[in-house]
Amino acid sequence: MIMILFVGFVVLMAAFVVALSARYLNGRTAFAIAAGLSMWLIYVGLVDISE
Amino acid sequence: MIKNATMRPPGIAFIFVPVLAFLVLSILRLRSSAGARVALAFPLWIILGTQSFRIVVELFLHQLWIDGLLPKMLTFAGANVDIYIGASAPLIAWLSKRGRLGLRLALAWNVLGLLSLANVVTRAVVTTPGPFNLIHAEVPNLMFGTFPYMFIPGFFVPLAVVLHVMAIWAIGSLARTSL
Repeated sequence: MIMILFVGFVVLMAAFVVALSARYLNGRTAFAIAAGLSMWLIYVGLVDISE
Repeated sequence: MIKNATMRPPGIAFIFVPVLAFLVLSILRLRSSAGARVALAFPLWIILGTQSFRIVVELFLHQLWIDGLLPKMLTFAGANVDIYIGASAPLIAWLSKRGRLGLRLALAWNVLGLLSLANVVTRAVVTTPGPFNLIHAEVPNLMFGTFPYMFIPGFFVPLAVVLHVMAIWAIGSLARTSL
């Protein structure tokens, strides 16, 4: 349960960062932040899961 | 891979090295005019107020301690004062809109926030099994390698540092323009 809550919080904060970037930065920079953050979060998740 | 403390370099290097590289590049980038434009694009109170996410992270760390995955020193019940930074973030965000004194307080608060992060990151590294395990607490720090908690050093710590650096940069610019 705590794991699900934690992953939910990570997703929520990542979405918040992307939303803020989209609101206050130009489209190209906001897209770069969204793409970079998504790839980084997938990398961290995969590294964490791998044995 | 992350759990393997006998690997050289240790498994946590797969997260720590890119995070350190990102932070160094971000700080260097923020010093440029293009980076400054990014920092100044956000309202200062939003940058400061966002730090309140650290309250939730601290609550998760406390739960990890209860579950035996962390030593007590990494929680607010031990030697981690990060929750006070998170709890005071909305107040500092409000004060930052109240003139020069508020901006000075916000600047000092950001420096304290960075020191608080340095304290907890150092304690986390020296209690993790591996070559840097200098403090043998009641339980080792098993957070690194226990999915999904690698997102704390991999996402929340860099986010907090970048927000602090952006805030310091924005406060410096605001102070210069109001002179």
